[in-house]
Amino acid sequence: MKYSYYPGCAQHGTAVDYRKSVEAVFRSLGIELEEVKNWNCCGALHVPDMTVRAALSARTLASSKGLDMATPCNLCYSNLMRANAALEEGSLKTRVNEALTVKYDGNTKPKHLLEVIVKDYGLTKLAEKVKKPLKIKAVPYYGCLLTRPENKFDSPENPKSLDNLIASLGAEPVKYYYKTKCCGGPILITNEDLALELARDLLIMAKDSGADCMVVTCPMCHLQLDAKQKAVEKKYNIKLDMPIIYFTQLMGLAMGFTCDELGMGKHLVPCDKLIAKIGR
Amino acid sequence: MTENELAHMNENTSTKSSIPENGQPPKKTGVYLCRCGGNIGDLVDLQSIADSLKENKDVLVNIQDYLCSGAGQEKIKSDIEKGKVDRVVIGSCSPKLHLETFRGMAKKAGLNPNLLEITNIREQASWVHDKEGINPKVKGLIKGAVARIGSIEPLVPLEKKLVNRTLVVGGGIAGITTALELADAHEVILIEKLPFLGGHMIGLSKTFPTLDCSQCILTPKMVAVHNHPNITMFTQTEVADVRGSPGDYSITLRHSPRYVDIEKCINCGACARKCTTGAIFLPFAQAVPQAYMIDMSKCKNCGACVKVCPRDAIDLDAKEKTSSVSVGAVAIATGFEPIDPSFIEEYNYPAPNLLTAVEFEEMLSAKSKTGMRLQKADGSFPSRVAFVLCAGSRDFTGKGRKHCSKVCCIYSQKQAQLVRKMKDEAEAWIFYIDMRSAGRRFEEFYHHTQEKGVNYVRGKVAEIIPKQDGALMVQYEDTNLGRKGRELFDMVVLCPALIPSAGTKELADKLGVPIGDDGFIEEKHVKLDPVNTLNQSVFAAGCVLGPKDIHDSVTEGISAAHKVSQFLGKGMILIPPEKPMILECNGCGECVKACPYNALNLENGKAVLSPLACTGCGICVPACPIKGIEIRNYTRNQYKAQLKAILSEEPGVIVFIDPYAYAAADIAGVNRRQYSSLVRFVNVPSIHILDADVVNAAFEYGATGVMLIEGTTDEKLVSHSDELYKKLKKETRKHKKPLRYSHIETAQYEKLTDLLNVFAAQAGAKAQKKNKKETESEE
Repeated sequence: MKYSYYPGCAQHGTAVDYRKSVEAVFRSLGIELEEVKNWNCCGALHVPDMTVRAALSARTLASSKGLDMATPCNLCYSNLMRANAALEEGSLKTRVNEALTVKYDGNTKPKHLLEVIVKDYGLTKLAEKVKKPLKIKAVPYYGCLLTRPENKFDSPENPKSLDNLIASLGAEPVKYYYKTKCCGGPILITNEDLALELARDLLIMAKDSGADCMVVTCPMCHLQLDAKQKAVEKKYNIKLDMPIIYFTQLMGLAMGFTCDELGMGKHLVPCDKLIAKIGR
Repeated sequence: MTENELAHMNENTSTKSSIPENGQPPKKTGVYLCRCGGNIGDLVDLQSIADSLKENKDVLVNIQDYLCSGAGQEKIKSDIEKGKVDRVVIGSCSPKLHLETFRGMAKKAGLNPNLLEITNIREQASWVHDKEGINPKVKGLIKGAVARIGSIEPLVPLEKKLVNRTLVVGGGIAGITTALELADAHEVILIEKLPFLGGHMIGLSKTFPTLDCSQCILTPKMVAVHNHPNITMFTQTEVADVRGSPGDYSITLRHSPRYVDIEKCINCGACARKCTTGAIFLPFAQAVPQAYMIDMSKCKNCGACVKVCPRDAIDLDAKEKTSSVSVGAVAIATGFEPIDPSFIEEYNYPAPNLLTAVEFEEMLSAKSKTGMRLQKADGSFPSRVAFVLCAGSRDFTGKGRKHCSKVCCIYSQKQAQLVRKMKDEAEAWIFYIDMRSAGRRFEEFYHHTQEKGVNYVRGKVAEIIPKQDGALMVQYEDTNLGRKGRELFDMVVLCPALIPSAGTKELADKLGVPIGDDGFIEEKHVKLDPVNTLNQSVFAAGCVLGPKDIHDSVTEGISAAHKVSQFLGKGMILIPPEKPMILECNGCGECVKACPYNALNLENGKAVLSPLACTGCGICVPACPIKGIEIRNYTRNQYKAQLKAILSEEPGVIVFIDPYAYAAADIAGVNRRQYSSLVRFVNVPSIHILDADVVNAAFEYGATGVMLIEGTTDEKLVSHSDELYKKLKKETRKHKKPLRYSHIETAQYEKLTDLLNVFAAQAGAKAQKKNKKETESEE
């Protein structure tokens, strides 16, 4: 299995722990990720001009060498998907291609790494790789962009793929009604009060469910829920202590990797209790 | 053949049908064309069609504005009476509407009704085509009808004695009413799937708009059913199989075991007191029949109840049983079930304190498990209750149902009133799209509910999120105030779409009754024949015809009883005389093997027909290796003559269509679904009457393609369709023209028109290609 790989900015910045776990786990599963050369920003949430935003993604998508393009970030994934949808309109495609040196035909299929594991690799095969089933309870948190725009991969209202992945690792996915609610990350700079309120709701719901950790698929969610958790605790005078880990880290833990190999030491909310419970 | 059928044949069958006695050739065929106001006349040039028909000296043509009117009918009648015509072809609306009217008129005028036929030029022509191509089509169809009517035999329908007994399926309020209304004059068998009578109504609390208690008004009726000498009641019983024909059905019933003999049980409760697992119980205090039952999933088979029962009523080894009943009519009253709202993912059903309205009702009804107290999962009273309307109904996204469930607006307001009544500080909110309170006493009820201090929010609920403490957060848009909101509630009640109960389609298929694309039983006529079905001996009442309240279900129950009574009261049923005639027989028995209804038998080395068992499908016709069988009035020669005339005007696509699919084509017409005017329907009793002889003739006369459209759901026929299609394809291959088979149920009229369009285009393209080739090779 081979994919062209669009890591997005976070993998080279705030989410090196994510990158470490992705590299370790995917290598072990025999899934090859070939990083796109000279990739650019996906536009994140800050490029309001549709043409520019589509062009940014089109430039990346054009370098896929005919492979499906995997990405670890919900935001990148959503932007690539939206660009493809927008470029179906012929005039926009022409305009965008006028600006590009390598032309884009519109045929590259973006895939989130979760989709690569769940759909392409398969959870039955993954379960065979589990060395030690994780006897923990985990919150499957998908974030707001993984299933939007609506795609064939999972339901936008009640997705199940991450639940199933958690279960295949021997852990228990808890019932969580905020699966696709916004974490507040994208508005942290512009409206910090609301961003913290949104994060608080997610974290309290997770805490109340009795989970040992929250599992995320997006570096932006991770940043918000992990790095800003202290701020939430302080502002609302509550105690949360909710470890936030990437799904690739959870996979790695079940597959027998060491904490170091998975970048587990980079968390701001300590994972000691979780690690102890897993028995590493 | 059942004994019953034999008895009918011997005593009560009159087979008066025969070849015309005088044997004289027909005098003149009258062709009467109807403008139908402008419905037909605006698109079809009837005058030019009349002129072209006049070339035939044996035809008399007349055009009227409204043939179905008194004046229109009088014209035909007087022509017959004066001896001007002795065969009639009418070009008008669908025969499903007025064939009986016109044939009744013909009979009065002294003409055998069979000698009058209708060509459908409205639903299957002027309503579905524009002007292009419509004239040659109609001209061809009428010429086809004229060619056909000339050789029609004047047959007399066969008579069959009706079994004076009715099966009512479903023991809810509609079925109970039907049974009670019928039982004074006719024998009734009432079956119910559950272990007790009452249907959904026994699970209701108070009934709108009067707020009287549901069980108080229903229990006397249930007891009356139980005690009525003319009603035999079976609970835990379903229809397993249907044999026979309209007016004389032999129906197999499947009885699930109750493990307690209803007749013996005296309701003393000794068994329940001994049972350690709660497996043996009375469903609820007022249940009819009043007898205990066992839930085998809880039973440990210890036998304590058997020992303690003073009446020996308990049999732990009871097995599922079947029995057979003979009935003349069936009334379907199988009602509704609520849709499972878990498909609405954003509502997160099921969750604690998130109920359907049916569950809410049951909590306050005779069937209550909480002592008729409204309570949350933790046992406390919910002080803030939200009602969410249209959960799964009025949904055109393809996920839910399109129809409005009709009763939710009123019952949710009733439920809101009940909540307010139970506790003064309790809050009740209703989230609605439109508040529908049409009909007598309902607007007043709506007004009254507002006065009771219920909150109304106009807007669809976007999301329901269960909280850890059991509260539910409702996110919504208030379209009156133009703002979004969120509220916490102790309890949220979803008002689910009401859909036909599980098994409706299977039952309808067994009885040969079509259902609509919404799954409800199709009425014979939406407005004018609301409790009849397309099967003359099957009737329907209550929510199986669409969501409705108790009042309307009772009205339909009474209507159905009246219609059944009218049907059975005749004592006889007329059955169509178009049966096989055995012209030549070498005794090979192929037709006996082919007949799925056991209507043919070998006697003294020759095939003999039992006309009452025969459905007239015609499957025996192609089965006969020496072509010795023809169906009266549907003979090969009659088809060939009709096809030749139809195609004499212009090449087209011949579509052989059975009566069920014909009904779909009519619905397409009513809905003005346009399709290619190259399509020419030819009626067949079933497509199984066809063989290569007829299909090849269609190709030879210029058909660019032939389609077989089958609508029946009778497995005995449909299971042979693929085989028939393959055989015909092989035997007509030499023409290199397209032949297609398709199964279209009555409800699938959109699929039908799509298919017709695609096929007509394909056939046209193929014909063009062929023509081009031929011209090229000539050059």
